[in-house]
Amino acid sequence: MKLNLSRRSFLIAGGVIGGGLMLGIGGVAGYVASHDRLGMQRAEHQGPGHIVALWLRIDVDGGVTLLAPHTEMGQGSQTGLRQLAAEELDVAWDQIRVEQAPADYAYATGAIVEGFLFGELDGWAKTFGSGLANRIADGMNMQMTGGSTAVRYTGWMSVRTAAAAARQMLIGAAAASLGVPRAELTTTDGLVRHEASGRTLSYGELAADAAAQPVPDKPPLKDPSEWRYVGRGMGRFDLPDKVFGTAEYGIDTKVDGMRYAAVRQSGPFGAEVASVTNEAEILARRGVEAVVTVDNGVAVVADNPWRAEQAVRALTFTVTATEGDAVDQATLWQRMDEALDGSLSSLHSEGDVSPVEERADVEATYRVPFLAHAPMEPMNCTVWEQGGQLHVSAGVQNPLSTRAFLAETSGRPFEQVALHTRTMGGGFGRRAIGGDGTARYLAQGVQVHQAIDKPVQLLWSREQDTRAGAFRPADTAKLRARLGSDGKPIAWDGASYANLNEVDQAVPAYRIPGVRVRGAQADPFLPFAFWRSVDASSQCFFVESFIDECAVQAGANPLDYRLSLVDPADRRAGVLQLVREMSEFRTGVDGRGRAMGVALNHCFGSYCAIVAEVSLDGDRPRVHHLWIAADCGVVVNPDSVEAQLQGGALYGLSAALYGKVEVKDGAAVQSNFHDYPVVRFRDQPALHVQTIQSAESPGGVGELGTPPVAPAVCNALAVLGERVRVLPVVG
Amino acid sequence: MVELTINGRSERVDVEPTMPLLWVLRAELGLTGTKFGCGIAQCGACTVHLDGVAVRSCSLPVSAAAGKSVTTIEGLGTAEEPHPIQQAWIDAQVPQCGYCQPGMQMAAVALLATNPDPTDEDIDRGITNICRCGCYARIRQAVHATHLEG
Repeated sequence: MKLNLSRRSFLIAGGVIGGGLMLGIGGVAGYVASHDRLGMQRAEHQGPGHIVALWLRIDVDGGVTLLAPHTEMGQGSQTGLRQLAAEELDVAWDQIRVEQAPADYAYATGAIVEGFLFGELDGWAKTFGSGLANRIADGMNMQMTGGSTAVRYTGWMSVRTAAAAARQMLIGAAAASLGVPRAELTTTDGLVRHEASGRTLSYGELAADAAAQPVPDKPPLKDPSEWRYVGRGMGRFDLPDKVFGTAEYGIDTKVDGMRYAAVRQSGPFGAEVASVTNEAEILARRGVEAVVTVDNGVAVVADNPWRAEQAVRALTFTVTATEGDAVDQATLWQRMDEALDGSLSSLHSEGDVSPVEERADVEATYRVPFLAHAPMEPMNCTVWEQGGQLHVSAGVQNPLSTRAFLAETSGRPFEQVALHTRTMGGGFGRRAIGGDGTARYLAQGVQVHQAIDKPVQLLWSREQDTRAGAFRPADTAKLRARLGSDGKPIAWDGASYANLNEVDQAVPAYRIPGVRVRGAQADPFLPFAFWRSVDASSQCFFVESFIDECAVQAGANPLDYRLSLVDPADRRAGVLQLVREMSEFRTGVDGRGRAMGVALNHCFGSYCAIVAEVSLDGDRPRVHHLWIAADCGVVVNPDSVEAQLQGGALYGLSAALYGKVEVKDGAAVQSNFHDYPVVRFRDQPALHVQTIQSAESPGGVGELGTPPVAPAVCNALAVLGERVRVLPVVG
Repeated sequence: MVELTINGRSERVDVEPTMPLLWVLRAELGLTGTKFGCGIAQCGACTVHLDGVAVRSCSLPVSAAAGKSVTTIEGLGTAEEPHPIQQAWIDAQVPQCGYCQPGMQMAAVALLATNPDPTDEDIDRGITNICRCGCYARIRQAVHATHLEG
């Protein structure tokens, strides 16, 4: 585990270890168990105000700042975190603001690690779990906005508890100051009040003393019946800037003396630029200052972004050979087919699958292509030297890891790297920096800066952004099932090629006596990035298309078929019932030539069922409606949830209908919105969103609407006579 | 030297006449509200008004704007004095990431100037801007709720 602690953090941690030893908790266990994240945040804090509890600073004027370790890419989770904090701290809405937390270990998101690794733990185990989770988060440079975790883990498990703890500490400080018992005190809108005497003390007056109070381990949380923010569509504080055009994305960064760099990829992935053959001519162009070879490409530096881009397009160069430079899409499909016929790893096995080995009643092979993310803001970073530090401005989903990457790639110590995290013009997983593919534009920015020793903004063209980045893997899946005499599957055998992060996505969510899932767990060639909903984006298409083919073979209503295969008390049954009501689900083709298809998914702690109503205009599909039924537990902000489900579904629709990046000569072919089309107004289905009222802990929402769309649309097309097993549907 | 009027202000820029207006706005004049999305007039993030007509500034040479009046998102309205469409955008909580929204609003205002009460089909045909976050339903709602003054 890499532990690059800042000097201050090391001292705190050292003190904690020492303290732990004094208390008789020795060794690594003690270090882990007594990890003091709050101590780290307090030690790091410079300037006015007091860090009273994790993430929460209270200033002398009573203003509260939530230092949010999650970044904004349109999902609005910073507002969700604000709601949870305001609720438990008991402040007025405009008394609390949100600031981006520093990209420091003190602000790593341990709750996410805890959520993923430990689930629900009790007592000492939970304390140990939190400490270990925080340690692991440090080691992984974990400050990730992704995996649909900001509200459901950091917010629900950490911010809410911290705010409740802070309120108790403020009450404790007031009790001491007023000389009255705690039980006689109440809080309201940033004031602690003693009813009997009418005396009040503001949070601002109490902050310093509150920060010295012991931190309660299990502070009482507000009863949901008393919520005034949670469950309401509180407005996003960042929206006005986005409406008025004053929000600062990475691309809007301005530094005095800044130059601009445009990049052209070498061509095939893995190839480097060997020599530039017309450098003198390019340097002679107006405003052009330098030509710099970078990772997997070459950059031109100029005094204007357009001049740089025109110049880099006019460059001629040779490239090194690379083992992938003859690879094309057909090669890749063939590799996948060969692998799937060969020996595979067992990923999941239950019951007896021998019936399907004797006879497969339903058999199908599915393919999905590579997908680019195509956020509206192309990749960019701005790099400059100032005050003995290397400064980088960029919109990223994981500032702490990004800062660590920048340190590594520049050769500067972590302390000397200052990352300015910007709001993102779309993330979708592309801006979660990890691995060469996703980080390449940052490495290039550092390389150009090192070469020219001047502030520089490196901006990828849309063509670079589509082609030169990192992708949702292409994949092939082969599925077979044996059906019983009642038409229900009794054995299911599935295998797919691409590496799976979440094997569960490949396992059918249905009661099937024998299930085997295997995989090649292989790398499909293009660099990898998390793409909205990750494995679910491919596996849901495979699984939900195939269960539908089983239903068709059985002559059954596909929605009823699915319901018959889940426990009625299961949350899956809940969303299937709801979507059935919403859509008035019917089989067959109606008088207008329309048919319906359904699909179900469980990802990131939530459940979603989607029905698509589709017709064919010649051979062109038209999606008229998407009914989206979601169970995401407690809905913290219904406005955000609706927006995310709508947006996630449309993101999935673009992929289902049009999304495809192909490989030729080791490079990606598609480049811009003319050949990598996406859904526009004219493609809009009517969107209907409903969530199930629930008291369960919040599940993720940002990615939930995406996976079921492709299978729902294809299941509808099958009713219209065209079973689509290879995406995208069009072209 | 190209002489321009941007949001009512005269500007003189010493650039090639072929430089797209987008890059004059962003890099020469520091007006970064207008966004770069594709560079080939496919996405509309760069939409501005040229004498009140919506144009995609990434594909408009600056020379074509000479002697005409350019309006950018900065000239449409401000927090102190929002344009009606901006108030509608906030009321409907339209943006998600927000990057396409300056261009989207400029396109919507241009549509409303010629068609004050558009149907959904009018909006679908009249606004071809891309929104990758998928805010289309709320954009339609906000357009329906916008009544231009005068």
